[in-house]
Amino acid sequence: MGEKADERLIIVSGDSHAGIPNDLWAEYLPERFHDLLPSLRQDNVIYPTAMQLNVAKSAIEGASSHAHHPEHQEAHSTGWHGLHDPVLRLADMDREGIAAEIIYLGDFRLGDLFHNVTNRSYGLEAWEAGAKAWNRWTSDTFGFATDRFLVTAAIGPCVDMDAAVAEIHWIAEHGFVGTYAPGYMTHPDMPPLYDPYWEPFWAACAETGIAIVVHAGYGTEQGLVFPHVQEIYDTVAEAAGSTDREALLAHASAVTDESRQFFTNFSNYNIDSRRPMWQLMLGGVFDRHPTLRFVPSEIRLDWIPTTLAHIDAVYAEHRDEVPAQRAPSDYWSSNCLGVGSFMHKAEVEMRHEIGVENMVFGRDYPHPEGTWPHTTGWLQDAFEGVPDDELRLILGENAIRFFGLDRARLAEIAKRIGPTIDELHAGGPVADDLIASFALRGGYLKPAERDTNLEKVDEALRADLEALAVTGSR
Amino acid sequence: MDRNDERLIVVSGDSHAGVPKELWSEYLPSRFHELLPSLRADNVIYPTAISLLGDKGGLEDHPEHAAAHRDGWHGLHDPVLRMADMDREGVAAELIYLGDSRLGDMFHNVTNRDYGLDAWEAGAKGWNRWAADTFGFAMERFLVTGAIGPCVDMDATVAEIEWMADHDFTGVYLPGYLRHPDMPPMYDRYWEPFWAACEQTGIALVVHAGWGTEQGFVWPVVQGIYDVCKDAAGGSTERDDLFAHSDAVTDEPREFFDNFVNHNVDSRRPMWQLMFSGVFDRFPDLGYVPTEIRVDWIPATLDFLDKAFEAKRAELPAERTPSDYWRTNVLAGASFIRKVEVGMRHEVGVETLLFGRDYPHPESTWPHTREWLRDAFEGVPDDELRLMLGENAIRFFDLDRDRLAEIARRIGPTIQEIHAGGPVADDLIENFARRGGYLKPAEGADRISIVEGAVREDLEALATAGAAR
Repeated sequence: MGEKADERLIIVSGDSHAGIPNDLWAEYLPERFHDLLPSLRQDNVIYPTAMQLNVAKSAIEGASSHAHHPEHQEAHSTGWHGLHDPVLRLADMDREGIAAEIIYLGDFRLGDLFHNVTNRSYGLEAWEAGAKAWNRWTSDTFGFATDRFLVTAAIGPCVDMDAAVAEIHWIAEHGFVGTYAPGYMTHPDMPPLYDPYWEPFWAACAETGIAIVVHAGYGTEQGLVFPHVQEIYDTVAEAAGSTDREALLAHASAVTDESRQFFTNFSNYNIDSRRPMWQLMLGGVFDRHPTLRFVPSEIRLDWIPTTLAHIDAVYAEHRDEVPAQRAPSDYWSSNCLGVGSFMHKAEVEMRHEIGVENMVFGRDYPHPEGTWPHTTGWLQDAFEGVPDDELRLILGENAIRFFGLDRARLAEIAKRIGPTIDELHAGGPVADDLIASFALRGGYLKPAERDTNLEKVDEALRADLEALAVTGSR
Repeated sequence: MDRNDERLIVVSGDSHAGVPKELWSEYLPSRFHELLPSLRADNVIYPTAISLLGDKGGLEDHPEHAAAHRDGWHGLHDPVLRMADMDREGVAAELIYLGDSRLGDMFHNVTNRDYGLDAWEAGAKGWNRWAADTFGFAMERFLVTGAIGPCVDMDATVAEIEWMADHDFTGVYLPGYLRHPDMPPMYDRYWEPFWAACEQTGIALVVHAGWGTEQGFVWPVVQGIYDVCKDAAGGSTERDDLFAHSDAVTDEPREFFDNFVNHNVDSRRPMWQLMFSGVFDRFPDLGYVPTEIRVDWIPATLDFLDKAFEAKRAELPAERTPSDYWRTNVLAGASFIRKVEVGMRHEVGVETLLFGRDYPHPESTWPHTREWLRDAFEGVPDDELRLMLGENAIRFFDLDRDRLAEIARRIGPTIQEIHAGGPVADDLIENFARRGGYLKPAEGADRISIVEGAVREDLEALATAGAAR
């Protein structure tokens, strides 16, 4: 090893997405679901079009602008095929200095097989089959390099617990590192996560080392979103008198305020995805399964310190009524790794409050809001002035420790592709237009949330406590 | 098992793959990166120009075909998608070649502008590395053939053949697919180490359509089509504007491509050059695979070559007749096989023919391979069907038959399906005719006079070379 400045950083990104091309859907689904495919293909045109119309309407209102950085635009015109082409994906990792990366389901350009919160409701069986199909395709596609592709599974409705546990064993045998938490998508009969119903599931995950991932979108009822998507599409199609793409975009102004409000709320103001964390903590799941890993992802980290302080306080008041043996912030330190997807400047500044050993940077490749294809520039600016040891932890060492990755193997890869510490520290200032693009696409310069949503959190927390107290008194 | 339930092992002799442009820099040394902006621009011009040419021709498409080609062609670079397309069409294994207009190639294809010999060499190596990375996990089903460089450095060329063999490639494009002025003809002793390396490693020689084209020869015509439409569109390069002015394409480029595709015999020439110069005598295990250059001209041509050989026998290094080498060293790839070619199978040689899909080219059988096979092979006896659809390739390339039979048991068409699948819809047959010339009459002896001129030239050169030794 040369001088310290020449040291190559091992970067493990905590966020990326993959998806099955439409042409493969039939291949991975049992035949009895094939009659749903024409409708699913249709949804898969409606959904991305509606989302684009929503953005276009916001642009008209001046609420945001979808004028994008030319390199970003170029990358997204065809470069997103790394979603399904593993060689292309590896090259995009190499170019950005990423030794390994967590892979999740979900990208609007390819859609998902009934198991995503953006899908129309096709019922529980199709959802179950779609989730299984995603896992099989993912294994077929990325299985040759699970040292670098840290694959996480899709989750079904979990109506049959034996089958759900068998699937956990299947993914563990195929080198997966995690699974979406049950309840990413919900159905009316699904028990809450603190219910003993889930014990065999937590046990299987703890035993096999499969981490529980709570990704943005968590907690959405099957089919809840799609009517709003359809509404945007239908309204604009009516105004345009056509479903021709150009005609639709020319009539984006027809998108109603109600529709826009729904998606703003859905993305920015709902705390459903935060709830499983305290449900598992207070429900004593981490006491019964001390090796269970929990990974909140792409739901930001700036709310974590205030929320943990609040739950700690509430826990102190009610500790006799809940199964938990330790303070929530204690479980956070021992069982959680928060993914700072396209990390905001404010989140880097809050790193000591969040826990320098409990966070990992994520690219969110290849989503439009992610750092790709500008990860190096993003890191240079976001981590300016951060000491080397903290840099190593947040960019890679935390993930290596948490998931038990093969450090020697990743160090070997990083020697070839990783950025040097010097490059990150002295790469020079990042161009203003690029910073502006980071802000536009990923909210890079947003102030920290801190206690803005604390009232809502408190309300949900109280409801959970009550339910837990009742369960506890059984 | 009922005979009709037997699953056919289908080995297709023709498909294409390409490196996505996002990967070009990854597979090329950095000193060639400065050429990439220009190559990317070419890669917009080329497919646009070819579409403009087709647009003027007023081709209409079958809806399933149009749907498949809208975005289903990503099997070009995604191996899981490709495998599913093979499974769906009942193809157990398939030869993979370079070249598709939608992704372009890195300097080493006849459709590229002339970027010089070094870039060509680097691009061919880049293609081979990418193909190994992408398809290497399943080489029993992906029968990859290597791209070929300018072969200026014979040691490096031989090393590359050994690299391919180490990476389980099945074949390599024959030198001269793309040509440069200093390249010796195929009968020159310059190539001796190359043939030796291919024979020793079991790498077959592939002569694909387009063979024998000078580097950069096609490009000016492509650029001309694009420019003339651009001018007519008032300088706009917007796709819609260009296509609104596709009428501006003149007859010359149409004739050029018609000649290039249909009337040149360059790609036939290496066959008799190797035969007459005794290459197959010195290297009896060398395999030769002419592909996507049709097979309907073969019987008349072999007949002519045999006579020419008899007449000059004493002056030529060859010890056997051309039709004899044809039987022992050749496997002909009948891409999107035509009705008349199936009819001529006994003249061509039932043991020397191999069906090919040409996946995922627009002229190919995909996504209608099952229908294509049903119609084309109607009434062909079972044993002949087995040979032309798979057993010939298994024997010729020495493939793992047990492994392929196991795959075929899962995905292969039954003999019953091919023989009694019912008539194929008229609109599909019409579409086959339009996209792949499925119903064209046989060429027969139509171009023998052109062949004759080329053969005479080669025989004279060979006699001179023989005398000079």
